[in-house]
This record gives sequence, structure tokens and C-alpha cells, in this order.
Amino acid sequence: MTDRLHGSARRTIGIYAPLLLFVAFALFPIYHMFLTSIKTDRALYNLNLNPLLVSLGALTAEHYRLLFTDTLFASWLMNSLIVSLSSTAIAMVISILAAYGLTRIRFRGAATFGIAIFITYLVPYSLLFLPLTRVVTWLNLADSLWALIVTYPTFLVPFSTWLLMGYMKTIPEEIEKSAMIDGCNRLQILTRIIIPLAVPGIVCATLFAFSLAWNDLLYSLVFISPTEKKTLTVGVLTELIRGDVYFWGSLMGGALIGSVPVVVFYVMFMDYYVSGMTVGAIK
Amino acid sequence: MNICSTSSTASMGILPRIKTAWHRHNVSGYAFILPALLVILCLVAYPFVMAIYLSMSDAWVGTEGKFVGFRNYIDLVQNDIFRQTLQNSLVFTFFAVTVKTILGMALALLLNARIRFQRIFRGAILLPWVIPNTMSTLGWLWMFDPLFSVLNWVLKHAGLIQTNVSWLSNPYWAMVSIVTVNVWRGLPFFAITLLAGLVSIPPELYKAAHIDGAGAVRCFFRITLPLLKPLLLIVILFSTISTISDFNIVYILTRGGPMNLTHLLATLSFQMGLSGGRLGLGAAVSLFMFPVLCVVVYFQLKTIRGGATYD
Amino acid sequence: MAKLVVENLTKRFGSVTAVDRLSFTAEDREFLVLIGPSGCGKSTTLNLIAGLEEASAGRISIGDRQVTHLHPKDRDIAMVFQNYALYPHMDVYANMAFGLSMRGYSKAEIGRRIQEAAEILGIKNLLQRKPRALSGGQRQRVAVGRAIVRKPAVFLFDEPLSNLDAKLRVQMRAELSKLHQRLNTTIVYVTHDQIEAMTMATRIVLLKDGICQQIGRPLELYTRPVNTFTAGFIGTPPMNLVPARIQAENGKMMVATDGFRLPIPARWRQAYERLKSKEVIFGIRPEHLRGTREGDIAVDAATVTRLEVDLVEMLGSHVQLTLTCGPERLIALADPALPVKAGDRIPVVFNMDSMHLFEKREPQRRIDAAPAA
Repeated sequence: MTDRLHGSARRTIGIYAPLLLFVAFALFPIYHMFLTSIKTDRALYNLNLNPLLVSLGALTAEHYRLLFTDTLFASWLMNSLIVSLSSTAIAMVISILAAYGLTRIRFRGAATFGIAIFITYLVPYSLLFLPLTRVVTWLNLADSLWALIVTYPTFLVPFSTWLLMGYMKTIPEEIEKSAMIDGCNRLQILTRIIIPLAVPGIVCATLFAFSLAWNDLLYSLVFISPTEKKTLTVGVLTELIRGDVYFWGSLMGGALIGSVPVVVFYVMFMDYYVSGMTVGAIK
Repeated sequence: MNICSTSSTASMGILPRIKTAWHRHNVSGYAFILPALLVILCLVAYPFVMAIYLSMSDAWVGTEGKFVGFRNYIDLVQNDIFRQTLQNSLVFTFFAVTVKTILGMALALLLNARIRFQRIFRGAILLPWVIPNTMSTLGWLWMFDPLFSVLNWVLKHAGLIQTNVSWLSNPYWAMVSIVTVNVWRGLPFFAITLLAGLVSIPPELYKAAHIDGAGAVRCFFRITLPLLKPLLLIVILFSTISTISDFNIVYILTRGGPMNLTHLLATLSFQMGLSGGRLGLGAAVSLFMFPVLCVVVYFQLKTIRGGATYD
Repeated sequence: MAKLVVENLTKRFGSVTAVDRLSFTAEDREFLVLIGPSGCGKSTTLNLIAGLEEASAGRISIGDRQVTHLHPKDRDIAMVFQNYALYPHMDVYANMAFGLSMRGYSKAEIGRRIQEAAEILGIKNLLQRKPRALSGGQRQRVAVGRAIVRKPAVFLFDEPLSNLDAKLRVQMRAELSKLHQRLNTTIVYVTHDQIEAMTMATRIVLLKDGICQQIGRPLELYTRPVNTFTAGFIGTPPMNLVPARIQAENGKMMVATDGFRLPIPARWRQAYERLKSKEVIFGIRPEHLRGTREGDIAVDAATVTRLEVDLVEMLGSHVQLTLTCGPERLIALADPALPVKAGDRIPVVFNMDSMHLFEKREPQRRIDAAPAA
């Protein structure tokens, strides 16, 4: 009995203590960002105050107000939404078609193309931004949101195709045969049988594609320069830091608002998210 | 029997015959992959070829440039900043991936223990991976602020340091900082993926080892680690390619400074190719990621084809 | 309701020939079972008939229509799969309605047919359930129901009972037989389970490596296997097959092996004269080998041989004995009361009237007493 108790106490310390350390490491920066965004500048830049806390008198929504009144934050937010949603939608249509074709139709070259998809999935997206500037210039898309809508699929399509392929492989082939006998052609099989069954995989791929697009900094930095056309990431980074002048409160507020859509999706679909994370490695 | 089949085909009209051929070779398959194929050809394969061409030209932003052979590569190899960048990339990648592997393994083991609130813990641990890192890295930039760094405040009050650490302007601490942020962001990927691997190890193996008298440490090295090895390898490869190609962290935190001591391939390529305008040189810099990509692809395909999983 | 004719059907996957010049006919209202070991091409054959695979050569007709190159939906067939292949996102009613609505049947007609099928199968109370809320047996019924609402010319079953537990399988077997009688339609049924084949089939097509071995009524395959493969495949435990030599001795014809020498029944002696001094394969089913006790023997002593018992397996209704016979093993049956243990040497009665002879040369064809006409 004492041994048990002893064991459980040791267990608590041995497991929960390090686990809480990890949690603290994970959450502290987010906590600190939040705190910064709701503190008055006076409290923020007072070295004598404890930066881990905030007194009630030092609370303010001023930083958030500033974002929406003195900057084009609302436009950036809108731009990011437009770009991320459109490129994700385009990528999903392309990926669903490709994943279905590659997993379910035995045509010559399917295996090779599957491997090609996988290789492009591994190509780091920072490898190709320079030649892509040329493509964008030729298409006459520079400084337009279309530049991003067109180029984001370069890293969205390989990823979501690969993810969906892993998912579609788990749908038994007999269901499809059955649908064929029931009178469906390939496109009907896809829309009436496979897509409804692949909903978890599609949700997961959409989630990831959206986060990837939303998180992009490099492409939108390179392809877009007018302030009002900027996406959120670039807008916050380039317009709220002017030389040496940092608007830390607004900066953190902007960064948090910029994280909200993704985090909301994440909270709604955490299990899909986890399955999508591991699919690349395990499948 | 051949005669039989020919006669049956011959008796068909042209349309059914096309239909049969369509069916037999599954031509519809090509229709399904066509859009993806176009994206990959136009937006990945073509830019890739162009990257190689650019790297062998003296193109500036806005000019066509002419072919100069390996001139850019020779220039780069003799360029101190580039050599420094290459070294930075290797140091950054090595330390970031090593720390992520060790801590990720530890975290996965902790999460795999029978704990209460498992979902909440997992959810919290995952957050750094979920939040767009462009946004969270801004938070870190603030935490590394020369004057108001909250890290300095905490360390001072804990009695660990006397004077402020200048996180991003001291060469040594700048590297530590960017590695830390990369670890913070990438750790959940290691932990959650390895956790998925741990969960799928049949518990009977541990029971058998327990009966054989093996302790926790021995179990880890004799069962967990060998069974997790293929997955671990894949995770490390994945992480290596994404770490060495990182742009956001360095661009936001240090812009390569101090004295180019934290430049990575992507940021140097951006600086030379766009800010500096030397497109050819920038392309050559980014192509130095290619050998790493090749190694990763080679091992990935090997494990995929070998079907090496832990089950 | 129609006759299915398969002629010279061939399917190649690259260099592998999965089905090789297969021909057979399923008569109208026949319950035809395709059976063989795994990889014999039976499922491929079914897929070819369904149109899920394109034949490399040969032709298939259903009724008086050539269907070789038709899309599955135009062949007037329905198929039931081993894993049922129900659409998980549709309830039972929608599963059964799907094929009909794809073909443009009216809502009323669909409803009528589903009610009728649900009645037959006893699944009326399940119509609003999703497949995942059904047991294995219920899913099986729904899968069958989905096929019968279509009223196809030919039903195709691909190992439909393999995913069920043993008890349920026995029950479903009987139900399928009854259903066949009730629907009065042509069925092609693939299985690897010879009990299913024996109990349900009107005729069996036995395949090996894509090649048809034998077609016939179940009892025909059992009593007159055309080669050693059929002999070994049909029947549990399988027929004993041992290399032997035919010898003439004192005017008798004898079957001689390393373990025994036994006379061929007198009525066949003439016929087997031509085999004198030939190497053959001797076959005899376990139920025609009886282990006994010394002194128990009331039969012609000439068909008794003493053999050593290697293994005794008590099965309740009888005992199964594994006997050593030179380098070979023989399976024999005995009364459960027989006092016997491993290592004993006991007299074994060979019912030579039920013996089979096969050629030694591949494919080890059956040698009939009367030479083939």
C-alpha cells in the first residue's frame, strides 16, 4: 500500500512535472503576446513592473483599436481571407481529382505520377520563389492578389493530394465496384460515393492547406508591394515595424488576430488535424 | 481463342471500339490528374528548370541576363558570406533537428503514459504548431527585445543572469534564439507523430519484456526505439528538409544578422536575389538546398517502397 | 433470368495469366459455384463477368446478348461482395435504392421493390439504419437485398459468407439456397469453401492457376475427380494419395506401395490389365480406410494391412488416425471406442471398391477402369 502511494507520487512528479514544463514552454509565448496586446504602453515599457502580469488599471483595448483605425489591418485580413480561401478551394478541387485518379484508376504512369507528387511535396517552397517571380511577371499578376492565388497551389496541391491519397486508399475498392454495377460512371462515383466517404480526409486537407496559405510570408512579400494589397502576415510585419519604431501592443494584437482563424479551425477539428499531421510520415 | 476475340472486336462499330479502348487503358485516369499535372509542370517543374537556368546566368531583376556557366557557383564558393551561410544552415539544422528529436521523443513518451486530461495536454502541446509561425515568431521577437525582453526579466529574477542577454545581436545567442524558436514550433510535429507510432506498438511486447524482467530503460532501448526507428527516420528527414529551408524565423528575427551569422540559404537567396537584385546568384544560393532534397527523397522513397512501418 | 455463357475467357495482368481460356455455361436458374485455392482466378473471373475488369480475350454472353465489352451497369447483373461493400454514408433503404434510382426507376417502384425484398430477407425493421449500426449477418442480408431489388438476369456472389462467423455461415448458407429456389434465377457464386460449394451448388467449376480443372455436379467431383488436384481439393480430410505400382501376382492385379500390397477388386482386373508394371498414384478417401482392432476383422483379410499409428485425433463422432505408410502418411477413420494410441500397429481395412487411380505424370489424370470412349 505504502509502496503504491510512493509509486503514484513518484509517477506524478516523474510525468506531470516535465509535462507541465513542456506545456509552459509551448504556451508561454502565446500568453505573453496576449498580455502585451492588452497592456497600456505605459505599463508595457516600464521596466519596474512585472511583465508576466497586468494590473487592472493598465488594461486597454487601444492597441486593437489602433489596428483597425490607423492601419489597413482590416484590408490585410480581408486579403488574407480571400487569398487563402480561394487558393485552398482551387487546390482542393485539383487534389481531390488527382488523388482519386491516382489511387483508384489503374492507368499507365499512375505510380510514377504518384511519386512525382510526393517529391514535389518535399520540395521546399523557398527553393522556387525566384523563378516564380518571373512566372508572375509574365502572367502580369505582380501586385495583384491573383499572384498568390495562382502560386499557392504549388505547395498546396502536392501536400493535399498526398494526404488525400493516403485517405482514399482506406476506402474499400468493393464499394466503388458496387457503385459501378449500380450504374455510376467515374465522376459519379467520385461525387456520390468517394467524396462523402472521404469527408474527414478532405476536412483535414482543407485545414492544412488553409493554414499553409494563411501562414505564407515569402511569396506575398515577393509578389505584392502596395500596402493595401498586402496579406496579413506581410502587412503586420512590414507596416507595424517602421525602422526602429515598434508598435508592440498592436503588433501582438495583430499577430493574435492573425492566428484566430486557424486556431478556431483547429479547436473544431483537432482530431482531423492530428491525423493529418501524422499521415505524411506514417502513410 | 484469339480468333474469337478479334472477331468480336471487328464486329463492333468504331464508337464502341473507342469506348473499349478508353475502358481498357483507363484513359479517364489521365483526365482526373490533368489539373494537378498542369500545376506541377507549370508551377514546379518549369520554375525548377528556370531556377537552374537562372543560376547559370547573370540575370538581374528586370533583365533577361546571359548564360555564364558555373560562374555564379564559383563566385558563391569563394564568397565569405555564402560560406558563412552554408555553415549557419548546417549548424542550425543539426541542432534544431537534434533537439527536436530528443525532446519530441521525451514528450511523446510522456503523452503516451496513462495520464489524466490527455486531450487537453495534447491540445496545448500542439498549439505552437497550429499558430501561423509568422505570427508567433513576432511574439518571440518581442520576447527577445534588447531592452524589454521578458526572458531576461525572468532569468534575472530567477538569479540565473546578472546582466541582460542581447539575444539577437550576440552571434552565439542569436543562433541559440533562432534554434529555440524553430524547436518551439517544430516540437509538436515530432511529439505527435512519434506518439502515433508509440500507440501502435502492441502492448503484448511490453508485457512479454516485463515477464522477461526488462525494466523501463531496457524496454525503451530494446523495444520502443527499434520499432520506432523507421518512423523516427522519416520524421527526421521531413524535419531536416523543412528546417534547412526555413525562411520566416530568420527573416523576422535577425534578417541574417549579426554579421550574417544567422543567414540561412533561403534568407540569403532572398537578400541576394531580390533585395540585391542579382537573380542569378540568388537562384544559385537556393539550389544548394537541392542536394539535401535529393538525399531526403532518396531515403523517403526507399522507406515507402520497402513498406517499412512499425507494424 | 438467363443463361450465362463464358467462352475462352482470358485475363492477363502483365506477364501473369490470371484466367486462361476458361469456358463454362451457367444454365438458366442454375447455382454455379466457382471454387479453387486463393489466386486461382475465381474472383477475377467474377470481375470479368461483372465487367469490373476488361477481358484480354474471349467472350461473355448473358441471355442472348454479348456483354463482353459492355459497362457493368449495362450487363443486367448484380453483385454481392465479401465485405458487403455497403455505402457507409447511406441508410439501408438508400443503399438498396441507389442502383434503381441511377437507372431512373420511379420512387413508387423503388419503394415497392425494397419492401418486397426487405420482406423476403426479414430486414424491414432495419431500413432506416446506417450500415455501421448493423451486425455482420444483417449487413449480409442488406447486401443481398441490394442485389435482389434490381431483379438482374444473373446474380454474382464473391465469397459472401467468408466474413461471417462459423455458426452464422451455416445459417446463411441454408438461407441462400432457399432464396435461390424462391427467386428462380441464375447465380454465379465464388468461394474457397468446399462445404459451401458442395451444399449449395447445382454444379461446380473447379479452378487452379486460372485453368479449369473440372466442371460437374458436386457429387460427381467427389466421386469421380478427374485428377489428383480435384481429388485433394474436394473433401475433408482430403483424399489420401500415394505413389504406387501395379503388379500382377497369381493372376491378381495388386496395388503395391512401400507400406502395403493390396488387390484390385476382381471386376476391374481386366480393365487395369493395361497398367501392369506401371507407376501410378493410388487414391483412397479417409472414410474408406477403417482402423480396427485385432480379431475384429470380419472382412476379406486380403484388404487388411497393418500400419503404425502416428497420431490419434478424437473428434467425438469418430477418431481420425494418421498412419505411417513408408515415407507417406495416410488418414483413416475409426470408431471412437477403438482403444488405440500413437505407436500402436493396428489392422487397417481398405475399402478397395472405392479406390481411385491416377496417372503419375502431371497433370495426374484419373485412370478409369473403362478406358475413355
